[in-house]
Amino acid sequence: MAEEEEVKIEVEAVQSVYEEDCVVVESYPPHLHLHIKPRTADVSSQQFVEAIIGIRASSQYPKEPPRIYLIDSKGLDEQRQTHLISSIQDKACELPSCFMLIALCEEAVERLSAMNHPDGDCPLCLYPLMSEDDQKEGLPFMKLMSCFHCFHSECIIRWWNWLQIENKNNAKHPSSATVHHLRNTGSQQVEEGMGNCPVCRKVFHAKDLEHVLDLVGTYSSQQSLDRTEVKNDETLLHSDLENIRRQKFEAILKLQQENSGLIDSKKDHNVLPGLNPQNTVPSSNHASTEEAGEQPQTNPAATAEINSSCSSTRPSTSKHWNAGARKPRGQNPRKQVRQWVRKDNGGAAD
Amino acid sequence: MANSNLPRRIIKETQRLLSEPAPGISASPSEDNMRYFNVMILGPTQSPYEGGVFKLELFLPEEYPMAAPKVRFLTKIYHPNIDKLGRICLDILKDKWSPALQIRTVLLSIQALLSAPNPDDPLSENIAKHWKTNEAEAVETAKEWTRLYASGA
Repeated sequence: MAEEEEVKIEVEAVQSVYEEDCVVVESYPPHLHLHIKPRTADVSSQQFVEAIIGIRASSQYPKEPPRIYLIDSKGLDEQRQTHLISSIQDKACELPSCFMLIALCEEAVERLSAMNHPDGDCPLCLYPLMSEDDQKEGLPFMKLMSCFHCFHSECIIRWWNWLQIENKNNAKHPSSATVHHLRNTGSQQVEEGMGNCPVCRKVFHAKDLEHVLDLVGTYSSQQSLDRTEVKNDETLLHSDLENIRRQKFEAILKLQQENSGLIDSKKDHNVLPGLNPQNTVPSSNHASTEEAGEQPQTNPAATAEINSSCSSTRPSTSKHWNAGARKPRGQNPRKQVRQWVRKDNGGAAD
Repeated sequence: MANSNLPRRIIKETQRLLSEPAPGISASPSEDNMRYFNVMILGPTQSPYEGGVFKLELFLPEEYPMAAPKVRFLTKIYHPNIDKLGRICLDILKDKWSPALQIRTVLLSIQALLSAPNPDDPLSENIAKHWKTNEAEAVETAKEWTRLYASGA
């Protein structure tokens, strides 16, 4: 029993060191929740990670090391989460049977501090957030304060500006008012001054973005969203694997066509907006693969139309799979098709 | 040529789709237009679509990734959230689209929709009604359609 007393004293010590960052779930056998932040992050803008871990010991503690587990984290992907937890767990197993709670908490903070940088790719352009080569200056990036998701500043601003324009356009067309909040392609900017993180949809304040708002276009770096690549990836398209895939695809297509398993082929280029209007009555009798070639610029307004006409007449019950494309009750099938084709050539289709 | 102006993100996604395809999903760009993808989704096991190979077409509009890709089934399918024109009722293709989603995540969601039809929010009224009044029979029809139209071997 003397040992139990000692363990309890150790738990008290941990709590006095970490204060509100430590929640004692059970003082014996010890079970703690610890909120850890990187040591290097006194300035909140320089903090990219944080975590809440659990430390749970059995009545055999300290002979048996406690178990470490993750409760919550920000800014850590799965790989880094696993790394964090396993390295603290390893530390626990390395230490000889002794009172190790403080040492483990310190280890956790240490490990997390070493990870205090954004990791991986920008979710919007899919290129690395930080240059792998330290010598080379990467693109400026920023994080959202609410969820710690990071983006290239230019990428997120470009998206944000696009949303604002979309909203303005919606407001200009009161006829589509019912559609307005439903569609709002992108994320649902519910209230002015608020946005939703593109990754986790957590609400953030628009002022989080203010400091980078004027960035768009400033950096002509290779990694921005709009940056185009002139070179076609010919090798990619003509790899053996890709050729085999294409053959297989054609074979299945043919088979399904013979079994009349394909949807009315005359309307096959539905997903291709902006086909040239003369062409709306297709002469081709099968899959749009062939027609795809003539595909070209779409004008934003036309596409906006396409979107909104798909998702009208419906309150936002968006927790379901489908808030969008609405049932075509009482319309003839041809009309439905036009919802997918640009509006302005719909007449020709009839 | 439509391909000469392809954003790097699309190239990156295409490379990843081809080099690390998601299980049961294949998507390859058309040679003529790198924004147009030929897609095949295998019917998920334990679903009425098991054993079927479903063809879809996917197009990345000019505004992508700000705007969602346009996707449609080419193979006939009996499903309450897919209409007879192959259009799909899926929130992330509409109001829940986010530029952090990708071609891969969209196709995975469609695959998941095959595993979990949702007759409460239908696109095909009749099929949904069938599903709600006599699910066993509706599932049988879906299996039948899969056998008739979606055979791939």
